[in-house]
Amino acid sequence: MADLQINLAGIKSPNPFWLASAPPTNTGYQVQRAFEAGWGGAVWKTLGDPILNVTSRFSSLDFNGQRMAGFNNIELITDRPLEENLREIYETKKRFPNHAIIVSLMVEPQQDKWHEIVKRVEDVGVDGLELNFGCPHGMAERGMGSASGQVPELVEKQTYWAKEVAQTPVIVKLTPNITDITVTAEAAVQGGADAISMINTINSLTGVDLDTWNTVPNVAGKGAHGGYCGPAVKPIALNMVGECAKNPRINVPISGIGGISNWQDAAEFMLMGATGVQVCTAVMHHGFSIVEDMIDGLSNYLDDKKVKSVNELIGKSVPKYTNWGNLDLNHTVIARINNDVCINCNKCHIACEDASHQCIDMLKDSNGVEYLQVREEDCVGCNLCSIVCPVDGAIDMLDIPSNQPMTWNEREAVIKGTKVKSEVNIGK
Amino acid sequence: MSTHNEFIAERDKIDFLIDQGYRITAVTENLSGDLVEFQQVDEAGVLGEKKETTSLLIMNANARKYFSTLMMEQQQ
Repeated sequence: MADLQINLAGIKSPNPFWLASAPPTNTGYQVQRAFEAGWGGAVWKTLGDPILNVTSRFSSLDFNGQRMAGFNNIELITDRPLEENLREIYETKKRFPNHAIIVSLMVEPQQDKWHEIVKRVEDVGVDGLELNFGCPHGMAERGMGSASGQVPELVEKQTYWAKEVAQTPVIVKLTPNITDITVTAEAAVQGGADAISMINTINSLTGVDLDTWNTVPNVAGKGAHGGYCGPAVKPIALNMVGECAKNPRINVPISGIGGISNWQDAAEFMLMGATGVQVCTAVMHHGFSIVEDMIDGLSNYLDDKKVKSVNELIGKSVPKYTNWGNLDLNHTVIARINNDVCINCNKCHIACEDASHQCIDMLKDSNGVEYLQVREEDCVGCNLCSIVCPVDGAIDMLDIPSNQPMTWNEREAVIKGTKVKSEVNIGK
Repeated sequence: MSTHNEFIAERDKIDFLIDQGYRITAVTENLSGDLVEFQQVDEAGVLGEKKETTSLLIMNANARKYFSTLMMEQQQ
């Protein structure tokens, strides 16, 4: 059986599955039940000056029958006194000494405030700290959360203040509500961060009720933007993890967060450079017990791949993730329809005709039976037909490697080179 | 004409000039495609001021990849 233990910047955990700082880590009762279920670590719901919450707080984007494809919340950080949280953290750590307890922190961007909370939290015996520079609602209006997380100088300065007194590893949690997350990630590293975590939630409004014209969610008829998470945000998070992992100036471990719902998602984040992952929405949807399938699934996957330790996954796909200009323009992909599997629903034909390159012909055989065929010479390999196809195996996308690979960057270089050369040769 | 046939037509024009001893000397990208300038080379394969020049406007995307690949091969 493969070894699932991880060590993220010195924080050891029996497996890579941590609960993210969020409602499921609000109390000792919850975190202890999570550890009993099998979670390797938990990032305690953000501590700071206790806040006041509103009701309602959550809303969901359901899509084609799938509940919680996306999830929006306007809940703030802990509303419980620091002493109460610290007592429960102490009790939890005492009961689960081998599990990772990381505590999320958020205070005003002042040195003394950071010093005070770091010292008080570390006094009860935690494994690490996570600085919350990401929450996009409520706290941001008070200059905290994403408001400070969007300013690289504030990220660096506050990380530095926390590191001045911290005895345990400091993880900086980054907001995705920024044009280029690598800028703030670099600022965190400059400030001395031992690790970074991403992504926090994305600014969102779930919808508008067409009867009342109220926003969803709303509080007594008034709404405010919330933070978006869940499966819908996974591609955004995965890209941000990859962008940071391939940046040589961001040379600290990454804790991956964003729509991770199963072991496959976790493996993808680790392949893209995460040392471990954090989960929230999937637990809010299905409960703590989902970790059992995550552990079994990841373990079986590693065994099938003959990988001895989950750490061997970390970053393995990063060298394969580059910029568009480095992709081979001459590599060809074409669609091929398997007519013995195809059910003739024509969705591929419609998609190709209306939205792509009009290269799927509707033909009739000698018996007058209709069938679909790709004109391969006109197919641009966009994948749309196979994406809309409802039947597995009905359309194959075939790779045809190029004899002479050529990237956009190489093309630009050769064109510019020829211009220079021709000017010399022709004597202009 | 299908996009593939457009490619074949433009590729054949490029191949014809290459077969006639022309080399690509400059490419100007514009809103219509790429204006590709050709010049004949002498027996030693050297460009000269008195050699014939001509140009093609290559509009098809695959044809633009095609001549670019030829240019890379020229350089190799």
